[in-house]
Amino acid sequence: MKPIVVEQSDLNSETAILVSWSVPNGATVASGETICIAETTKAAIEVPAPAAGQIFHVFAAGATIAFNRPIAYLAASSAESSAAEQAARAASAPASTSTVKATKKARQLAAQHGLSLETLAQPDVLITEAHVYAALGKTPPSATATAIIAQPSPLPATGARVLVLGAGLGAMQVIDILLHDPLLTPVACLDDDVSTHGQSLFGIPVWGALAQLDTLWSAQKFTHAIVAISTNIAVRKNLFLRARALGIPFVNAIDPTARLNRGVVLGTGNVLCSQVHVGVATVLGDNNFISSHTSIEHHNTWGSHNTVGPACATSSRAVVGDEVLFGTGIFLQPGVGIGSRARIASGAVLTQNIPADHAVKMHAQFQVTPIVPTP
Amino acid sequence: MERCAQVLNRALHALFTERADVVLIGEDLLDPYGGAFKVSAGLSTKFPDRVLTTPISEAAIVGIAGGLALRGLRPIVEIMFGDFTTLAADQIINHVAKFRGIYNGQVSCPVVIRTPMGARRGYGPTHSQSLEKIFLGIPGLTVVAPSRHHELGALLRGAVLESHDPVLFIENKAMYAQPHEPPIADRVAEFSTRTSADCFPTLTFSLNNFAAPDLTLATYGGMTPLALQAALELATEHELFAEIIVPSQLSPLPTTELQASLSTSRRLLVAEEGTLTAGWGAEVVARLMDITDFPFASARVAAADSIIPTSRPLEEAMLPQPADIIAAALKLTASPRR
Repeated sequence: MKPIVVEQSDLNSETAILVSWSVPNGATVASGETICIAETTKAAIEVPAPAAGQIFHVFAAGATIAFNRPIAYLAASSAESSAAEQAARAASAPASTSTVKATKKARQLAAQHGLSLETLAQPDVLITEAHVYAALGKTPPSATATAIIAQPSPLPATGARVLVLGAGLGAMQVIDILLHDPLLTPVACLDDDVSTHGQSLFGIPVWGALAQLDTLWSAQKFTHAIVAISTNIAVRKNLFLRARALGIPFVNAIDPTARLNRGVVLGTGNVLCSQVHVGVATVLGDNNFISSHTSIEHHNTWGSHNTVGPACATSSRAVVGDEVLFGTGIFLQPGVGIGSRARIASGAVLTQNIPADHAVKMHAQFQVTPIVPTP
Repeated sequence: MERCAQVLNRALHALFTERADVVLIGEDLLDPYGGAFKVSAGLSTKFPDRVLTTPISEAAIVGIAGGLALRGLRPIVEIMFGDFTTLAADQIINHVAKFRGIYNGQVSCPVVIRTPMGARRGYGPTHSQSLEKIFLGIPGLTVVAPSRHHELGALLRGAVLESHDPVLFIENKAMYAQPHEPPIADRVAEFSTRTSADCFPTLTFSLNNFAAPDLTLATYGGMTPLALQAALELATEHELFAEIIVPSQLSPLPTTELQASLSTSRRLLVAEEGTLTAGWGAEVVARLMDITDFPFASARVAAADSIIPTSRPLEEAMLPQPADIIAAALKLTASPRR
């Protein structure tokens, strides 16, 4: 089964008109045969069948169609034909919408009192708080009282409700940071380790596996997310991209003891633990995990998905790519560049650039011996 | 639902069929091109003698149309982009708008100058402007700018056949592709509507069946869908009810509906797509100050006083958005009614 799309032919038009179908719904066509004519403000486009098979229309002639979205499905064989027909029918069905129209205040008040708004619905009436008060037999609070409550306060009425992706050691650090931030409220964690399910971290419950991300997002159970996996960069990156693909916004978790100097530019989804320092005019991408006491000096440029162990220190003008793994206690000379996906062992002092996809290993010179008690 | 460009096209066909004295003059009008936005499509095939395609000279086009009108025809001019009306400004302001007055009412010059204005399509600085404000307040010239909720066919017919004076008929570019959605049984989607009885009517939209509004929101043309979107959000998120007044005639300014709404709301917000300084909104606010005897607060939402960038994100940032209307409305309603 193949979706058939109209490609964007000119930049003047955002949509095209499906002028006519050249073949009826369910017809069998040869490869390259014209199946329909679409028209933009500049040109008429003959859309050919990409292969031989049976064509199922998504739209009727006259419809406004978006570019690169299926306008029909092609079944290459009779085995595919019912699937293609169903896909076309599903794509043409209008999205169902709730019929009850109500204001946010009305919805909140009705929810508080367990009142179903359906019972208040009348055609062509937007249900307001006043309608709900009337249905409850209550008097609305006086305008004065509302005005006092509505006085602007230094904080927004509702902050971000943050879902923490991961429920391990990293998550405990992230939740500790979020609990310090009056604007960010951690609501729950997700983790694929079933032993964490039903547990809680500093009072924040683990709701279940990461597979629930889509449904929880659709159900508006949270407003923002953050990845709390610290050391496994591949997992960290994938989780971030997966959530981003769903359109989920991220927050930065910044410990109150972290110091961000003037001109710092942060992407999103970053975790900055206790006592982290970011120097002036340093640019950090997205989804970096910076452990405590690390100092990223001034005028650094960092990409995304990097993780840094505790107490690392760069000097000025360092350039760090993406997905770099830093151990603990690493120092960089000024201007050192580190390529993407490099892995730097703990204790390294880097005086030269490290190319992408290279590891820096340390050959420790120290020995560990038992202490012989003096008689 | 028909798109607005199709409705205008159909209206032109109807006018040409109804009246033999209607002609169309402009650039690139002939089929198969049918005008840059296809509003003139099919006319040159059906009425080859009455569609005059011309070289690139907007001044000549309007000048010729002025002559045709003086001699008794009903010419319609199509200026390909509203930005090019500057090239015809002398003919519009100093000639077609003046003839009736100069000749002491012995002649009339009923030219209709149709032209697309407006941005939000990435056409850049000189193909995206809303320059209608330049032509407001020119005595003898009527400026009409319908929204997608006006009866476009009736408005165009009124401009061509019922107006003695020249009409600048502004067609918003983004509107062309939008569905034409005039009120049915005094409703448009969630809104109750009222339509004034003028040749170029003013529409009023309400979300609370015309109960007392918290503010009066005046807008026109291509800003209308954005204003309605903002009004819907103001109602559902904040329980603030705007009465949205959408004149189709910008100049001379009809004030009856604005004055009536404002007498209750005492808060006037004007939203327009053109740049802020000396815009339509300035005239709306000043005129209502002049003619009302009650105090009211006002604010204007418009494009930044800047040229329109070609980059879509920059264009979006420069142009007024529903969020700007909402922010201005919240600010305006934060203080008690005057």
